[in-house]
Amino acid sequence: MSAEAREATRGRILPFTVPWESVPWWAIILAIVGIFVGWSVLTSEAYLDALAFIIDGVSLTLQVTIISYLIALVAGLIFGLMRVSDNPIFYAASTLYVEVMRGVPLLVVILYMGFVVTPRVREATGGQIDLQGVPAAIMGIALSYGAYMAEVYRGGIESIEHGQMEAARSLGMNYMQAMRYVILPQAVRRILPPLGNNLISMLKDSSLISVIALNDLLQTGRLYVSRTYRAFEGYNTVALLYLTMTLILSFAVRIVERKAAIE
Amino acid sequence: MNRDPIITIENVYKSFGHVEAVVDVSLDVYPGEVVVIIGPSGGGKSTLLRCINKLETVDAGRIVVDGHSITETKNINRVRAEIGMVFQLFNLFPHLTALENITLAQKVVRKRGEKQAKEIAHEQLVKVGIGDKWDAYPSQLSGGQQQRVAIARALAMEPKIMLFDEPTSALDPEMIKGVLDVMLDLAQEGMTMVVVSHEMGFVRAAADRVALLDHGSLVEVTTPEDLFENPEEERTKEFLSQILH
Amino acid sequence: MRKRTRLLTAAIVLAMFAALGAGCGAPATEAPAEAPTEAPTEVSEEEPTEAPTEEPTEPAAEDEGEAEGLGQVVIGTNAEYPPFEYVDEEGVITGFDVDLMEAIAQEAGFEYEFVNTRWDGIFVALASGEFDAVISAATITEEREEMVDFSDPYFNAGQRIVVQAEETEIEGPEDLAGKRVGVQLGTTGDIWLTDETEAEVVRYDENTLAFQALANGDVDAAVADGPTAVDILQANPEMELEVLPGSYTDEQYGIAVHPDRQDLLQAINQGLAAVEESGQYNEIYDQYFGVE
Repeated sequence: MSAEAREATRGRILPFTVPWESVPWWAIILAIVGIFVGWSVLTSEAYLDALAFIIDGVSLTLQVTIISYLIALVAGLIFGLMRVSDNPIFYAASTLYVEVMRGVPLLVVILYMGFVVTPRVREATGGQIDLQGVPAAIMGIALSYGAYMAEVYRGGIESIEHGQMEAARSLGMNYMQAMRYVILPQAVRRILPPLGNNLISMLKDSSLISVIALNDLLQTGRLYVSRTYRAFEGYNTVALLYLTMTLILSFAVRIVERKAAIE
Repeated sequence: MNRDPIITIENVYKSFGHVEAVVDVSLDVYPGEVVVIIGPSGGGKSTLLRCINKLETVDAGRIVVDGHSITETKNINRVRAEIGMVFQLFNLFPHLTALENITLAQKVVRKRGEKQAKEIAHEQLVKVGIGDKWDAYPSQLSGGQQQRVAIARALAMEPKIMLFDEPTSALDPEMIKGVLDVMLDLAQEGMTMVVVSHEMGFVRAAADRVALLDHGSLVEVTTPEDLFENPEEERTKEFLSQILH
Repeated sequence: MRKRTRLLTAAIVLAMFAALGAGCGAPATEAPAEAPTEAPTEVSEEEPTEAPTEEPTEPAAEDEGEAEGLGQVVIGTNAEYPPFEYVDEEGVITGFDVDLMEAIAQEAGFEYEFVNTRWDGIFVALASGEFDAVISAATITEEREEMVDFSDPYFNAGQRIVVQAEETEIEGPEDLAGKRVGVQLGTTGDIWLTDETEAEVVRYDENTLAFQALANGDVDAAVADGPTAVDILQANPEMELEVLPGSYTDEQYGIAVHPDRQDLLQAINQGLAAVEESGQYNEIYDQYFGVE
């Protein structure tokens, strides 16, 4: 045994070290659980039955989540900029939006969109604009999350030192040019983690749209349970499907963060 | 001087809350002149400088640059393009390379094409002595190199006036000379410069006039020779005795 | 995180998943073992009002000597289904089922308490022991009987179709084909619509939401138990809805009881019989369903 090895194993019962640190424990545990669950599912008729029925709900969940997220990203940027603006009207309007949307639970927002806004808008436009169903759900989620995103953007923008804006302005750029070419590129890189986390939160919160009778993953699961009374298999399947989606998204987010950091 | 001043500062006042930073300052700067503003810390030098390109807004008084009234103009951006500024902390854009730092404003403000902007940028980088660092990011450059990129960035806009706000105060001693040499060259080429600095060597070598600012007011404005040999005011003598050791 | 903490956390997480997975292979819906039908105990033999009591309690109230075997009966209900069970303005659980249960408990002589819970999964909760009984306008169905036992039927309700007052196209189940029809998720109305019609079934958490959706025009019709439908309409004339004549599915409501509680089941059936005989049932019925 080399001198270093002897030093490293001093005091131990067994004469070797195991590199605890470099082993990705969480991945191993997840893999073990995944294999265990996978085997249980594939050998259990009840689970296959549940999976076959419930997996139909995944597509609506993904659709609503992705579209709402894209809208919220844009809405967040716009309201975030308004929140840092000197213009009193922009500031007041955006602060009102942020306070209201952050102050009302998402479930209430969705119910409100579905049962108050949708019929009023339908009436007001003589049936031309019908938000019933998916559009109402997307609007609810996007508006609510947009408020949180606005504050994230604002935090990112404010974290950039004033000297950057001063340098840009002193070169003759106007406010919007300075934002676009100097401030925002730096700010966005800093806020990628919270933006990514919001995507994952949104996926889980999308389960709330079941309350306006949309056939998302949760609703489909509940329907299965109400028909077969197999709550255990039913809800286990629902949970596993949500978990699978969020894990995949987590990976994707981490890859994006890593790419941005390298630059 | 028989030409009109290119910068007119007239009875300017500026306070931050209760603190009076600039008190009734009047100063003219002529084309091609190098004016260095010296004085004790907190004396209002930086504030006065930043009023010139409206990074600070004056409370009272008038500032006119190249015929445009800074205090009244509706299009400050256009005027700012004619005034180059170099900051104590460089303020380079960290997400862009040295070259990109210099081409950005050229393209966006002066509306130059990519090719032309790059050519000019390369020229300026060579001029300040770091032509080979064009594709380095600010984080990969030393303080002195960063400041030189900052100077090149300002010069690429072909301004009429250059303002320097303590350009060497944040640099390690061995890098100061490099930057001062660039500034000296610039002065010799006839650029109108207003410099806030403590570097007396630069004052002696390049300044046409020196202005002493203490507690917001202009104490004395003379030539470098007169300043060092025959300072008139008490405060001037005091200040000099403190810094010349 | 330090090495040891990491290891401990890993062990705990692994244990949790193992426990979770332990149930994975076992089917969840085995028919519960039949409880042997015992000879009725003193509980049901004696006449409630005449039994000698040891405690100085009022004869008409809960008689401890009688209800010895039963203890405090926990009754689950989904108090969002007027007029059978709902929460009134003062926050009190009220309704036809509530009044009926009170009468039954009095006749049978046991103490009870109501627990307000979600409809979704209420039978699963009953089967898992969270309650001793459930009274919640629950239709007696074969599938439910696999998990729980039902008392004798105490109400006959059929599903009815509700439409907007100005509706002209929809007159019966055949007309629902291709139309959006709202219903409460998991109810017999839901099942009837799914299996017996060609409607596009839109499932809401509660009947009230389904009816609101109908009033708003989000769905073309709504389906609910007759009495519920009538009750909602009576309470909300401004919705401008109407209940179509015709009742679909023959539905008997029953009180669900945990299969291991045959004693409770007996008590309830006897209490129910007594309530019907004495005319109390009709009183309560008239109170809620008046002139219909």
